[in-house]
Amino acid sequence: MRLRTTTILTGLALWAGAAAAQSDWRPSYTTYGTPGLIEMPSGLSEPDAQFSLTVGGFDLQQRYTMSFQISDRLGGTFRYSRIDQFGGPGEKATYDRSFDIRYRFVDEGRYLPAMTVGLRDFLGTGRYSGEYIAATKTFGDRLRVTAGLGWGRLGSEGGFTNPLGVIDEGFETRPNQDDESFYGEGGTVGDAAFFRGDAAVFGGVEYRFNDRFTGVVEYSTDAYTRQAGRGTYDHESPLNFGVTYTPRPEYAVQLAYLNGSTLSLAATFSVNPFERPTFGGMDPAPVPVAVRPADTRAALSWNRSALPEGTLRDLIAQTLASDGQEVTGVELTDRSIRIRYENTKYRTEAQAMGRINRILTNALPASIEVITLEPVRAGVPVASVTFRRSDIEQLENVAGGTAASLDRAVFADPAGTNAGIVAVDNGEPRFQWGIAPYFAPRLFDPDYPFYASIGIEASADYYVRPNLVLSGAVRYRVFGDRDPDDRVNDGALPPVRTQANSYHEEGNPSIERLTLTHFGRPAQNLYSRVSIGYLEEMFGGISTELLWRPVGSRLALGVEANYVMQRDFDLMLGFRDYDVVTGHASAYYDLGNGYHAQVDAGRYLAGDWGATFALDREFDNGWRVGAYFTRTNVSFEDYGQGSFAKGLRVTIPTDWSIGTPNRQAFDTQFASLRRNGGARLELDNRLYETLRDAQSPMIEDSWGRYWR
Amino acid sequence: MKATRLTRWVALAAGALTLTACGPRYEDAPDVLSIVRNGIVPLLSGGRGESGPTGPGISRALVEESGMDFLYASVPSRQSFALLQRAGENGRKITWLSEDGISVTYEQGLLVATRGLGPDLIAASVSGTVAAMRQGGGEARRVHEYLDGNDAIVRVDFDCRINRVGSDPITIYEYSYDTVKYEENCQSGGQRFTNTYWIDQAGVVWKSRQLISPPVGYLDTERL
Repeated sequence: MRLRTTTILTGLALWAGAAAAQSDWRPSYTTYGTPGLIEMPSGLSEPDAQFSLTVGGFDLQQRYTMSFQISDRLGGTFRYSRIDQFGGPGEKATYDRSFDIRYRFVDEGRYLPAMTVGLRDFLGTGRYSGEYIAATKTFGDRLRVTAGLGWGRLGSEGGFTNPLGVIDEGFETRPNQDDESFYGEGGTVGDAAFFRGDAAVFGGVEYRFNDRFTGVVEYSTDAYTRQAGRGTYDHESPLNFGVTYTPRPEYAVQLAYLNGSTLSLAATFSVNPFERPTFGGMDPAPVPVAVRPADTRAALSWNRSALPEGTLRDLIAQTLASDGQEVTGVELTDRSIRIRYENTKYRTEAQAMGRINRILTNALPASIEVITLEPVRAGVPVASVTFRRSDIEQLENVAGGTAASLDRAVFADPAGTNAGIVAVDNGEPRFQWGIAPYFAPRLFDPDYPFYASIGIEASADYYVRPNLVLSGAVRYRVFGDRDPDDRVNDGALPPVRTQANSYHEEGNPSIERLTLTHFGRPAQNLYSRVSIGYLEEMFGGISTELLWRPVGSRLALGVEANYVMQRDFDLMLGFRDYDVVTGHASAYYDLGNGYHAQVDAGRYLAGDWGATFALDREFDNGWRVGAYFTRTNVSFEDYGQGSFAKGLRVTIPTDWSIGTPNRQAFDTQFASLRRNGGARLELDNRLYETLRDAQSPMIEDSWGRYWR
Repeated sequence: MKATRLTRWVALAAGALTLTACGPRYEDAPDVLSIVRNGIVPLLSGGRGESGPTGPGISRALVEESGMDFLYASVPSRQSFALLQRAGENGRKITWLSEDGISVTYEQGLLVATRGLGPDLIAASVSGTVAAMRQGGGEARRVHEYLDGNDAIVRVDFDCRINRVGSDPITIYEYSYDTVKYEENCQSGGQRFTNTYWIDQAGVVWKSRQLISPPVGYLDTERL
């Protein structure tokens, strides 16, 4: 838990009428969805962790952009663009992905401007490639001035000989990025071109008329050379004029007149994970703590003839079930209780523990002083936290009570302590089934940029034991047929992922999965998983996994070994004649300050060897934003479009957006095209993620919710 | 063209989800409509759906008949009010609970916690204010704790000045009380608020206006 200036304090300041005049003038967004003027970048950054979505462009170019302020100084952008008539008038549209990165190396001060160095489209096919250094200074609370030096596309208008030529003459010429062979399949870092070729000076002025309207004038150094040359863009003037309308801090719309010929529009929606719309959340009030009369606390036992253990266990299971906690086992002694339970309601385990403790003070005999809670995931206890009942009584509604409760709680590993636990029937049926519509969107496929299939899914689970489950799902697609694929597979690798269209055409209805899975705890700090059956859309077989996860450790290590066969296109029970042994050794590390790293090294589905690297920024409120890439012993050429597998992922917990308690989240990936290289088995029950949120240090990270 | 088709699909899918999901698995799952109704609409409209007896519906006779302790509470910024029932007691702190899941906790009549309002007061330390009021006024330090959007506790320390405004008899549903009005002016940096209390000779706070948090504003309560 960190103390920081937050929404509540911002609210305080506003409410007190002490508006912070100029610091609330956030950077506006370009048609590229990045902080800047109209098409030119500025020296400013978005606020830390800001997440923004922009749709911007003009008649022949649309740019769909997602930007994220990775840290206070570092910002990143993913963009999906539609460029119509790319080859010339009447030619068809091309779709393009691009990535930007920028770093603010000077903060705005009394005299110094904010300064940022950035790379635009440094990892894609290079359609928008350009580099810049920009400086922005605010004067008073209405005027902001930007000046910068651009290269590449940002140095294509009014360019002059590159001043970096002083260092090395090689800087004076830039490779021809219009030449398709320069980038090949895309996806490689275009560092051969960075800061090379002519440079040009751009700049602009922003003037804030009032809280809602800002006027912008910029001198743009993007000449639209390719488009102007092919007659699809009129470049009459380097000047752009725009007006930005900001009805609320999270929305911005900009209308601009580009290069004396073209109208552009950009709309941005931004959200900051730190600013939950419901502040602490709309969870209903908890049951207040019941305090024992002073003279009963010292009792050494309780009267079991008046309250038999069995009755008490059932009572506990029933009352905790009313708050979404499914009790699986209880151990009772004269002075202590140990409860195993699965939290089905609250996103954070800390909040579930706080609720359980308060309920227990109302339900337990006075002699019981020690409460041990063991959260369960997939039928396996994964943590153990012990509380003193007197602490719960003492710290309720006390300033400092949240921190003190954490100090006094004792964290341990629950391994090997099944002795004494009596299984409790919590009323949950062993067999569960349901039929519901499904909605499966897929974004940014080159042929279908916005595609979704909709249909009906029937699913069922049978719990043979709490940690042994037979699970299946069948789907029937109603909407979302696609044309047969006209992309040819080059055949350099076994087609483990590129036959999606064949599955799509022939596999309706489909068996989505049919598996038998066992979770276990073979030893202290050790967890295991074995899954057999039709594991995912394209592969079936056996998957095994072992995870070493010590209590409170930032590091966890895992190994996974699978033998799988490729499924038939009809998605019934048959297999094709491709099989492979695939598996990984994984290291997971909590870097602290909200950053998390993961490395998986091993053999992928096409038999290629390599590693996947992932870095996520994780917020205590459940937001996650991350990026990953995979490199294997497959050449860029053999891999095909994109050169190697990579992607971005975002998780937004549902309780963050709607405010009521639940454990669901909105997950989405912006991945490169699925190719055959660097492809992993797609499982959604790998151990680390399954167990993690009920374990240290994630329990402590969200401890602020303990008394919520 | 594509966008319209997509919108139609989403609407269709959302509609279908509320209408056709069946089987034990989906029985407890909240449908989209109720999430919107219960979670989002009240936020936008700034209220939480008034429940329980409405203001004019309470009468002294009804309270007497029930034989229970009640608190009449309202949040002016949300134009919502509720009748709260005594639900817990921990030392000198008493927690009151409304039917729709909002609780408020008072320590000797001073607000120290709320739950279920969103920007809740997680905890407060008010012993200085209590002592100052006993002496008829003075300086005090007050601590508030809030839960921020990233699940961290934020602590704010206020410097307060308590003044005895003067004798100010009040009437609460037919009963009159001989009370003294106190004002507590607090500030921390540029942030200020004023709490007001009406206290009788025995030290009972019969009526008050106290800050919950800046986004929610004040809580008005009367003891019945």
